Parts: sequence; structure tokens; C-alpha cells
Amino acid sequence: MVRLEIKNLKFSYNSKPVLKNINIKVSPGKITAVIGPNAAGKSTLLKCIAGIIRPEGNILIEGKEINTIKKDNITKLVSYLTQESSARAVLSVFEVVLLGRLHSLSWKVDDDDLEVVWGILKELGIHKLASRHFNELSGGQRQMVSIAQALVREPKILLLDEPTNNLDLQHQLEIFDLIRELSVERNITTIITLHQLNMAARCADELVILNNGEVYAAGKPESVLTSEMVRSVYGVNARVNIGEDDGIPQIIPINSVRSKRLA
Amino acid sequence: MATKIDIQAKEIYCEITGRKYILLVLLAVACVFTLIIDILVGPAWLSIREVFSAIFMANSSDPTTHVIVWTIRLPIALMAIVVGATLGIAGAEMQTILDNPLASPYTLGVSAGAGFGAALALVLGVGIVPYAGEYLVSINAFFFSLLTCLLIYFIGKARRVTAETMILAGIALLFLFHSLLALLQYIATEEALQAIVFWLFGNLMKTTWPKLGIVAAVLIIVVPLLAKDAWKLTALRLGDEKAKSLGIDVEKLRLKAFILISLLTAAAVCFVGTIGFIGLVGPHIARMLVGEDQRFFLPMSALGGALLLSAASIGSKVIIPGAVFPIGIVTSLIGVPFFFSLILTKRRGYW
Ligand SMILES: Nc1ncnc2c1ncn2[C@@H]1O[C@H](COP(=O)(O)OP(=O)(O)OP(=O)(O)O)[C@@H](O)[C@H]1O
Ligand SMILES: [Mg+2]
Repeated sequence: MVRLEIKNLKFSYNSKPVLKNINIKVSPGKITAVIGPNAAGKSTLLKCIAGIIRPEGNILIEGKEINTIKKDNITKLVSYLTQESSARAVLSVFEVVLLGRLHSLSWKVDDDDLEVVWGILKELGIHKLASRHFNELSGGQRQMVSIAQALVREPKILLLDEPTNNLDLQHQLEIFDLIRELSVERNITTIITLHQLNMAARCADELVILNNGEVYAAGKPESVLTSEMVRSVYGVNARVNIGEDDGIPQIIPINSVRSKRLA
Repeated sequence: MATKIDIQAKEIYCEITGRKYILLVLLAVACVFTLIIDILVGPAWLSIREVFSAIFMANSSDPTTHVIVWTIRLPIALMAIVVGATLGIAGAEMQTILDNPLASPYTLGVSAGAGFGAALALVLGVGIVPYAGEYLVSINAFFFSLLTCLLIYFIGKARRVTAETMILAGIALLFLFHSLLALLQYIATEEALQAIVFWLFGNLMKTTWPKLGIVAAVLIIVVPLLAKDAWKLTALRLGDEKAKSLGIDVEKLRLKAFILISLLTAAAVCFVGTIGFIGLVGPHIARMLVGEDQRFFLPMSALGGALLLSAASIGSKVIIPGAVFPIGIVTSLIGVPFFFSLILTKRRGYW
């Protein structure tokens, strides 16, 4: 079954093409990582799926064209973590996460909503921050809160733009474990963008490599992550080691092709 | 297990909101307190007993006291509360939708627009509505503040309705109306000039019950409409993109809130003139005390504004015994030290 299908997607900012003819299919319960250099169009792609910007082409959610689905329903289906979050709101962590459930909030907050918020805060181990102010947190703590806000909506499609930004190694691994667990358990379609190729290889079922607004390659990590790809997409000479026990490719960068120093 | 989480969740939530409820009540009590003092204080000081009997026991009270309380003190004291609340809310929502701590009816030129409208009426006798009589100046001020808001919006819209374009438009209009106003003052007669200056100072003294009723009516109509969007407005503070991803039509929300704010501002300034500080500081006080959950931020901004203006109203009567100072001057004199003391004693992180 295909949960999300993107067909001939095109998007331009001020007539400068940013996405050129993208075709992707994603199944439920799987994690797809979109990787690629800066300005490749990764965030733009996620914004299209989240319905924040309107591209040309088709985005189909469970076979239905996104434009024909009611806005409220899209919001319930799709949850989106932005690459950067504004730190200026004077709100407690609990309130920020609660806002993730905007669609069901009324003046008096339901116990259900409180329970879900508290549950996710505990799951992410940030329940001790609940009454702290969001704008007084460290970058990593803020990132955890933003992730909580994205997860608290219990979506069918989860879009995470660089979810591990600002996170230390342990938190990165924990977040990916949690995302995997949730994806499988609740049958969520997850699309993440990130820059660490090795992390992507370890955590994602599928990789989509985006370069200059086009899909350079897509598929299983072991078929996509090649030294050839790293050279032509990133301009970096690299060695690829295949893990002996798990078969996961690991990229060891050597130098930039622009670099004058030789390895 | 599930029920245990449930209980903890409620506990935390009540801990967060409980403190805010207490602060709301405290500030409301403070407002009642200043309101009462405001009624007592004046060229003739009244006792609580006199005021009480004038208000609640019409027959048995002294007729002079009765007149003073009912026709002068009570409407003015209530006007201070209502206008303060109106300006507080207008400022709070402006700061929210424009994502800028410096936004307020004053800084975005709305008060200047109103001042220019009033001056037009005072100098040239030109009114938007003919035969307006006593209300000529107020109606002019009302329409010109609405006009300013509309201009801000449409200039902003000419590009996209972003916070930055609207703020820039507002500041540009502030300068425009200031120079137009200066022009009018330049050509005005001595008498008209004095009237303009007096209007610009801001003044509660001309309050009558009908005027109070109009401002209060606008407040009562607009507040529920804003309150209905409380959560959406709160979400807007997370940034446009986040808000959009939560399903909010950001531009529509901004337009709707802006129209409501315009009405509030126009209603508040048209009868009392330029009172600058309230719309800026009321929301800041609220933000420091209860944060930006609009369910608390909105009423708290109203109470903050009301408290400040009510205190200023008292101040305007006691600075020089026997005389009444223009309240627009006193608001800043009282408000600034108060505001500084808040800033200096509070933690960082509020803008
Ligand atoms: N709001 C905008 N207005 C105009 N151009 C934009 C806007 N946002 C992004 N772009 C342009 O679109 C292109 C793709 O940007 P996008 O944010 O999708 O890149 P990205 O792959 O997410 O990069 P990064 O890894 O740096 O996050 C870039 O060239 C960028 O300059
Ligand atoms: Mg990006």
C-alpha cells in the first residue's frame, strides 16, 4: 500500500525553480530520509507535503489529491516539525506541546489532551521541563520540545525537518529509536531530512537523495550510499565501508574535491 | 497506569494555570481598589460613606455629592478602566499578530491618525459626518484612526501581509500624520491650537455616560470575538510556518484580528485623545506575569491597562491639589518608573 505519493511535483520561489519534477512513493510504517546538500530543496519538499506552500503537480494521501482534502483533515493527518522554531513565545513547555493539539483545543482543555501531552513529555524524558519557559531552554531542549509538539498530534504522516538539530549523540539515537517505534507501532509514514549520512543509513528504511531540486537517487541505503554518489552530489571524496554484521554502509569522508590539500 | 498519568498531567496543568488565575484575581482586585480611590479623589475629596450612599441610596444622600459622584466621578473613573482595558487589549493583539514588542496603537500611528482627524475638526470645522455637533471631534478621530488601520493593512497587503510590512507601514504613517498635524497646528488660530494641544494630551474630563457606553459596548462586542480565536492567536506566536502547519489560515486570522484591534483602538482614542503608554506596557506587564497563553494574556493585558490608566487618573488629580492634570502626561510619569521596576526585577527572556 502507498500512503503518500508525489507525482511530477514542481515548485518555484519567485520564478526560481526549487523543486523540479519530483516523484516519490512512501509506504506506512516506514521511515524515509531525504538527504542532500544545503539548498537542495529538502525543506521545500516537506513544506509542500505539509500544505504550507502550494506546488504544481500531485500529492496524493492514501490515493486522495491533497487539494481536495479539507484543510482541517490535512492538519489531522499530517504533522510537520519545522527546521527552526521561534524561541520568542513566552509560553511554558507544557503549553507549547499542548498547541500541537490545536485542532481539539477549546477554552477549557480536555483531560484527554492533557494526558496525551503528559504522555509524550514523559516518553521523551522532558516532563521535568513542563513548567519551564520555552524561551529559556537550551537549543537541544527546545528541539526536544518541538519534536514532542509534532508527535503529540498522533498523525498518519510525520514530517521532521532535521529533527536531530542541536541534539547530542545520545538524544539523537533516542529520538530515532522513538520515531522508529512510533512509525511501526502506529503505522505512521515518516519522512525526515537530515545531514548526517551515516545516521540516515542506520535509521531510515529508504533514502531519497535530493540534489538541485531533483531526485538524484532513491532506494535502500546500501544501494544509494555510494562513493560515486557522495562525490557527484556533495563534491566530497569518500570511502564507503559496509558493516560486516549488519550490512549498513558507512561513509568515511576523505576530502572535498575543491580542497587543495590532499588526503 | 493510564489513570496515574492522567492525574499527574492534571496536576502539572493546574500548577501552571493556577498561578495565573491567582494573578488575574489579584489584578482585578487592584483595579477595583484604584477605581474606588479614583471616585473618592478630586478637587473635593469624598469619604467612602458619602460615595457609597450616593451610589446605592439615592434618596438619603447629599444632593451635591450625588451630582459629583454620578455625573463626574463615576463616569470618569469607569472610563479610565474601560479605555485602559481597551488599549491594553489592542496593544496585546497588535504585538501578537505583528510579532513585535514595540507594536501599539501609538507606535503604529493610529493615535497620530486620530489626532489629525480631531485637529481637522478643531481647526477647520471639517467633519466626516455633517451636523455631528458635540461629537464632531470624536467622530473625526474615530474615522481617522480606522483609516490609519486600513492604510496599514492595505499597504502591508500590497506585498504580503507580513508583520514587517505592516509595522513599516504603521511607522511611516506615524510620521505622515505627525507632519500633517504640525501643518494644521501651524495654520491654526490661537484658540484652535490650544484645543488641539489639549486633545493631544489625552483627557478623561469630558467623559459622559453615553461616551462611556459606546466604548464599553465596543469592548464587550470585540472581546468575545478575540477570545474565540485565543488558541490560534497563541499558536501564531510560534511563527507563521508553525501556525500554518497547525492548520491556521494565518493571513485570514491576522486580518480578522487587525479589524477588531482597529475598532478597539478607534473607540478608545476618539473620546479621550492620545494616551500613549498603556497599549505598549499593559501587554508587557501581562506577558511577564502570565505569559502568552491568550486565555490569560488577553484578560491580563486588559487588567494591566485598566490598572495603569486608573492609577494615572488618580495621579492626575493629586499632583497639583485642586487642579486636574491631563492624564496623557501622567500615564507615562507613573507608568515608566513602574515599568522599569518590573523590567529590572524580572528575569531575562521577555523579548
Ligand atoms: N522563502 C523563500 N523565498 C525564496 N527562496 C527560498 C525560500 N525558502 C527557500 N528558498 C530557496 O529554495 C532553495 C531550497 O531551499 P530549502 O530550504 O528547501 O533547502 P534545504 O535543502 O532544506 O537546505 P538546508 O539543508 O540548508 O536546510 C534554496 O535555494 C533557497 O534559497
Ligand atoms: Mg532545510
